[in-house]
Amino acid sequence: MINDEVNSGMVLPLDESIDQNVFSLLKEVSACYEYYQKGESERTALACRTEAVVSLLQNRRKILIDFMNNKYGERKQLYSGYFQLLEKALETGNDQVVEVALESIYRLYSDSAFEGIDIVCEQYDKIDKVIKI
Amino acid sequence: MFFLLPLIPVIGAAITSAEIISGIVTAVGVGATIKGAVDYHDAKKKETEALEHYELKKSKVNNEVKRVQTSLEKFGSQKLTAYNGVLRQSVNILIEYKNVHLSKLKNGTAGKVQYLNKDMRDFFDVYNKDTDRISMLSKKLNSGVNKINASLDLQRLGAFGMSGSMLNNSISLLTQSISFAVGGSRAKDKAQKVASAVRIERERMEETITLCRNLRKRIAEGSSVLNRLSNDMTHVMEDLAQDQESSAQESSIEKLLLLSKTMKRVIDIDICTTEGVLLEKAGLLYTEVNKGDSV
Repeated sequence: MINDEVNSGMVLPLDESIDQNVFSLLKEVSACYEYYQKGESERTALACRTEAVVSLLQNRRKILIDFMNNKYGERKQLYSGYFQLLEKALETGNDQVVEVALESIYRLYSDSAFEGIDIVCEQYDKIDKVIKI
Repeated sequence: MFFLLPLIPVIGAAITSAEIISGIVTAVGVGATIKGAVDYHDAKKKETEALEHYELKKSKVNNEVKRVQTSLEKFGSQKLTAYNGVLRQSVNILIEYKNVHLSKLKNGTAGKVQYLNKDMRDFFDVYNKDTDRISMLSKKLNSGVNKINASLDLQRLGAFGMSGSMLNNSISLLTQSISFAVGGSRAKDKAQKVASAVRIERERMEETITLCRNLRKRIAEGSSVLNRLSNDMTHVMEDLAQDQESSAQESSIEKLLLLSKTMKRVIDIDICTTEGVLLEKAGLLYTEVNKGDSV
């Protein structure tokens, strides 16, 4: 009767082949678990590295915004001063002051508003390169 | 029958082991399948969301680049209007005055008027030959989106191109379930890599948007300078028309000459060239149109 059941496959035979199958299956389950755990750790590590890079980029952008706001603020004040000087000189007919004011306006206009920005970016790029994704 | 009694525990043990093993196999198989399915679903959702965010940000960058381009084109038109309007008018007045009142001009003034006139003539000669003058003055800004796409190098980050299955080609149901679970985990790996790449790229694109906005501020600043100089020139020309005394006329002529020269120098400066660093940092490209014809 037992043999019939064993032969029909209803009961697994308690021989060496069962041990091997069970061992093999457990090995696969264990490998899967290990892989899964490893994947979880790697994903967590990647998420941490991503946050670090994002944080750097956000700080860098904040510095750029502050830098530009300051630059535009300075330029606005300078333009305002130069144009006031020009208008007064035009009213009083002081050609020399007109010339100086116009030259100053031209120089300010021709200077890049972003001069020095590359130095700021460079410093941050150096840090950016340290954290590799 | 008595001789069968010793087999009872053996039969019991055999059935129990079989049941336990099949129970474990089924439980592990079902568990792995469910886990795999959940992981696949989560991974797909995460990846889809990440790519949607990326597309949204890319569209914002595109819009910002278009705004810069529009601002540049308007600024180019403003320059042309100044050239054809107040500057040409001023040069005509200066030439007329020089021809009529040469003796009244200060030393060197006649030469300066002559030089400015020649400079203007050269400009108009080129301008008349070139119908695409606005582009020449404002430069054509190309969208940096292609560059942005290139920088989102997901393959470089290992997001795609996953290697083959870790497990061998066993076809047992349990092995298939485990493979499915591992596949789910791999899908999560890929989704995480895509999400990370997109997150970083979105921050970079935000920087591009910031830089574009500042480029527009720079253009607006240039536009304001042109307006103020145009207004001053208009006032001086109005004063000149009303001046009766020759000394007042001479002073107005000097002022008009200085203003005209500055106006022309300001118009000739190309913001895209001056702010090359900004464009580079923003990842924007621009083509120089007919640079050889530039004034």
